[in-house]
Amino acid sequence: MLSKSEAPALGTTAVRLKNITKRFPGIVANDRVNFEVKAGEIHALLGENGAGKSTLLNILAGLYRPEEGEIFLREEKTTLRGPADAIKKGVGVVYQHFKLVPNQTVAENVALGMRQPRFLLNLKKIENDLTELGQNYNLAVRPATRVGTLSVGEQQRAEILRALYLGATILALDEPTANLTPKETEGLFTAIRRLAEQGYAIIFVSHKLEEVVSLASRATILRGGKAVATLDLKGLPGEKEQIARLMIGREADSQSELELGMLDEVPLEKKAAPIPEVVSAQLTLQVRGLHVKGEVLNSTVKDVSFEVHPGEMVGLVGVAGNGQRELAEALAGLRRAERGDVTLNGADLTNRSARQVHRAGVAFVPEDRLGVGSAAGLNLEDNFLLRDYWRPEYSAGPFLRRKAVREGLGAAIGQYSIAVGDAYAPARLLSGGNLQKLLLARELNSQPKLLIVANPTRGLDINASAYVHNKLRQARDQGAAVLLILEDLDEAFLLCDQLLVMYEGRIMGKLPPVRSAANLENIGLLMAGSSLAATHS
Amino acid sequence: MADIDVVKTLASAVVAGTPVLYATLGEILTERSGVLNLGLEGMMLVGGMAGFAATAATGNVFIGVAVSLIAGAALALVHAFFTVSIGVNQVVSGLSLTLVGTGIASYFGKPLVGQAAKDSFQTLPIPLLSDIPVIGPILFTQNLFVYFSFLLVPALFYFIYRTRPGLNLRAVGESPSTADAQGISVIGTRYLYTLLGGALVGMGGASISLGSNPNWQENITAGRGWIAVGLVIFALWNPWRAFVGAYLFGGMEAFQFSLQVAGVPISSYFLRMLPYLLTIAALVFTQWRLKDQTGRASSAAPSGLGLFYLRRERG
Amino acid sequence: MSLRQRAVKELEIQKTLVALPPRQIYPSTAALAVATPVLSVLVALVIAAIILFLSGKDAFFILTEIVHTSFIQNFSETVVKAIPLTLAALGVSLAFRARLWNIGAEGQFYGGVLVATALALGFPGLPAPVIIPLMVAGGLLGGAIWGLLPGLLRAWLDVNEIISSLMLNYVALLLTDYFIFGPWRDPKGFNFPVTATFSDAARLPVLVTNTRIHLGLVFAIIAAALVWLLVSRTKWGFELKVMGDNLKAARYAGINITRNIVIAFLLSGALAGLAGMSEVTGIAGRLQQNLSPGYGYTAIIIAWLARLNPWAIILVAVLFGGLVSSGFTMQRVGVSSGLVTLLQGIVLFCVLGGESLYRRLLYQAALRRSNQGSNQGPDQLKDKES
Repeated sequence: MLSKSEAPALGTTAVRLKNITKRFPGIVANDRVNFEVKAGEIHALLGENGAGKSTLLNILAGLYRPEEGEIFLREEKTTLRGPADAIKKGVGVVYQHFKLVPNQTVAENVALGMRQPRFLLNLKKIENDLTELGQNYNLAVRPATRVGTLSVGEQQRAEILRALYLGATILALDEPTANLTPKETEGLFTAIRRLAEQGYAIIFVSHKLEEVVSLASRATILRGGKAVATLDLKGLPGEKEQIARLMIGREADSQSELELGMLDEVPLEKKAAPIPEVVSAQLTLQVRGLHVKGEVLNSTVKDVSFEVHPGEMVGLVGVAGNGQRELAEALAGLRRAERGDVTLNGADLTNRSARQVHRAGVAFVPEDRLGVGSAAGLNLEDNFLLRDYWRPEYSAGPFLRRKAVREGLGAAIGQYSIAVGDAYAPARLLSGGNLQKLLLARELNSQPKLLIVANPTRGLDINASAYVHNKLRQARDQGAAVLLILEDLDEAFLLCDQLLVMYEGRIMGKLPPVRSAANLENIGLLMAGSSLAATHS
Repeated sequence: MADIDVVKTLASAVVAGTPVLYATLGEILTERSGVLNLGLEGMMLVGGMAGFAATAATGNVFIGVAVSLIAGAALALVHAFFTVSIGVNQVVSGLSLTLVGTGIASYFGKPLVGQAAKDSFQTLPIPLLSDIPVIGPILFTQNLFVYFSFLLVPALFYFIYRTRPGLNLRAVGESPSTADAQGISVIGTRYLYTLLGGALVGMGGASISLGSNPNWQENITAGRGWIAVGLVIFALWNPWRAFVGAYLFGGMEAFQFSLQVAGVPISSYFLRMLPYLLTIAALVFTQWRLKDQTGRASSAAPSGLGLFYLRRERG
Repeated sequence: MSLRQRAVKELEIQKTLVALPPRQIYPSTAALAVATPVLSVLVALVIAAIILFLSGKDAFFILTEIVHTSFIQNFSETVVKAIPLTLAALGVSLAFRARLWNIGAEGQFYGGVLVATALALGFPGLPAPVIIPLMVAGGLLGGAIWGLLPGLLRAWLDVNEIISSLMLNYVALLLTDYFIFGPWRDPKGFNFPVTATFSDAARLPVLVTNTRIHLGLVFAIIAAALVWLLVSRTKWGFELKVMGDNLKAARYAGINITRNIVIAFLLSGALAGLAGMSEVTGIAGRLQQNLSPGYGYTAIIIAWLARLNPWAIILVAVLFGGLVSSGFTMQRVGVSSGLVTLLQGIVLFCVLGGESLYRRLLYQAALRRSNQGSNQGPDQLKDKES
């Protein structure tokens, strides 16, 4: 297996997709897309959420079959009859949500893609081979370790190694930097460049312009399911603006430039008016010495202390799985704190029930909007009611006041311009942006003193993101204390007044949201667990 | 109380445990692929009835066993179609299967009631081994069903944990989308192991009607199928632990019977409750241990268990 | 808020209310609830006919005979069977609403039977206005007790409630046998395993003369109304619905899941217990073996077929009441009553299959509607899978 099919000669065409069309009920996800990648090339596939990138990737992986169009691999026309066929023909795809079985080892996960030998397993050999392969490409993994206990970065390396080990010469990476520290990102880029030099064809899917420009030599931009352009990237000024324009289909205004992370400076006016000392001491989320048992390795929250003031937006940044979720859930009353205390406005909220915490004025929008934040099989009305059905506005004694609920929902739909086809269809049919608007409407409806939101714009397109960002700012400006859990640093710079960096369950430091080189380096260091020489208090 | 023959009791514990062991092993295979089949009671009954009828017709117990395997698999096929192909709720489909199985066994088994099996697996002492004191009469003076189960347990363990098909099986149950992306057919795997599991469960039924109790009565399983579903959880989906669980059940069955025979002054009705109560206790013990380890109520089930998998093409 | 501001706000709300899209009646609730059971019963009858034909019986005669006796000639007996079925199915439906698989209605039925019997035998002198309410309470209590253990174990330790509730069915049957073969056996009963006959005061009064339809019918209708009120109009009903859809969302909503699981099992068991109580005091008049021909199991199918809708449960229970009472007809024409069980299973399979296929069509249609005019597909569908 290690003696894989040799990578094709540099410059020949490795992949050519011709007029690919893929339809889903009511939507054309890929509309006559043409796309081509040469051997030895790093080719970026750009587009907003929903532009059709994932569909195209899934077609290449053999998971979806296109309705029309042709696929050429190494200049040879092929049909991909399924994922096994795609793997056999040298296509390797690394998904954003890794396709790994958590309670199996890295080697076992690699073996899943192999077909020979048919009955017996030689895990020892696979383990040795993986170690060797990892050294060659600077992608170190521990092959005999269970995947569930690995860090996100290591899981990603395992995914890449699996693809290489299974003989991939065409490697597609879907948003590979989403969960990496700046340092890990650098390491990944080095490995990718090395692979390209050896003749591998790399497809790099991203929506981050900065990364694309620094890494890729060509870019294809998808918009609304169509491939609108393929550009050679030469690092010329104005290139980013051109791409942005192609991505969103119009001149990028300052708002969307912000959303795309193209503006370097943080506008000053977003700083909230300072709060008088005495009031702030009283009206504050205070967390002292909090310990919360973690869900996965390294996610146990250890001795965390911080505060959030009214009218302040604090961002909790770090790589996913370092205790952010546990911390947020503990603050929202959904997870037990083992030690430490939480107070809001001086009132003790430590280990109170979710209902009590909510009643005290804490609103929470979890990251998993469908799995936790909503009962996706129920309709909009029920989901609007989900957290507030017990309030006197909506209930009388043991009974619900459905009429009042409908009025509230009607108002929210208007106020938040939620596009609903049918208010009585299950919530799972809403688009990501509309669902997030519904959740925000619900949570802000009770005029919370503290608003906690985890990855508020994950999976949303630019317009929805901008909308959500504005709502968050509005809540802050109206005097709510806002705590955001963010994995995207650009978003953190854009929104927050203060950044807290979390690593292995500890808060490593508090930094200003300034995109200076020095500050970026500091944040990177903290995210990777090193401490600073002179940490801000 | 004093007159309990320990060796005899343990020997009948092995006998009583064997049908449950087959059913538990079959369900482990099925659940490992992510399919929850609650129809065990019905499949055991149909397997037992069909095997018995085939033996009655042909006079050959081996044909009877083969028929019981096929009958179990055939019922499992219905479950596989409804749950794997069209995404019916697995719990409810399993319950219907129980009804269908119980109904079939009762309807077609009616003329067989009260008959003795024409041929059956007799006790077959293994030379030399059966002469070992205590262990010999308990383990090696049994019928072929028992001996085969001795081989099946390690074989299944090896298969699940050490072979490529076993690895694929585990992956399909744990993370079907991963298995799918690696080119393993989720639907094919689920069908295969639902059928194989069903065949074993059917044979579990035959190991009563053609083994331990070679005649036909209505409801010969008396809840053993359900007990097996419980034992799968107790076994944490591991064949070796299924072995332990099944013999624990068999032990309780044999023990309460010995107590009845010995004339203990406890009503036999209460003694007969023991195996059912033991099953609940086993589950409580399992969950309590898990809670102890993980700090909260949790499950060791394959993550994909009970969930319909469809390679979602956004619709 | 000033009056003016309020007026403006209300106006706004009025406006947005107009903007709220009209409620689209989902065929899933209306058409599905009627069409699938009817079609499924027809398909099941065809399959039953095939089975009968294959085993050399006159299928047409037998099936028409069953329909004729159950739904025309002896319809009152069908209603009699529908009483315990309705009550037990209402109970089961409460638990199912929260996706709690209470398979123990059969045991809970006997829980109610045992307590009611104990009261009837223990207080033979009490007048009807005293003993009947007492037995109603006892029946509810007995069923609730039998539902308590699976509920507690599920709530505290996440013990699989399917197994625990089912195991208790066998325990309840053995306990019943113990009483009728032991302490409660009628000394004047020629050694048959039956208790003494209850006093006339401890029998539920007959409602329709010349039939066996008894007061239990009123219990069943009242129970259906109460269950309907509970699940569709109250906060607790809403909590159950959320729990049934997504337990994590229920926790997030601040719902006390542990408490609700126990209460759901208690109520679920209580209704099955009431079914047992009304059967033993309304029909048998004494405790005997095989009091239930599997009411608790049939109730599960009824609840599911009725899509947990209390009013639909009554209708489906009458349908299945006919099926259950046809057991006697079948014996008369020489067919094993195992066919009844088989038929029930087949009906359930047909409904499940039909529903699942139909719902998939609906889903596609809904998706198409929600995707119209936008290129923004519902992204979360993919997330849900991953």
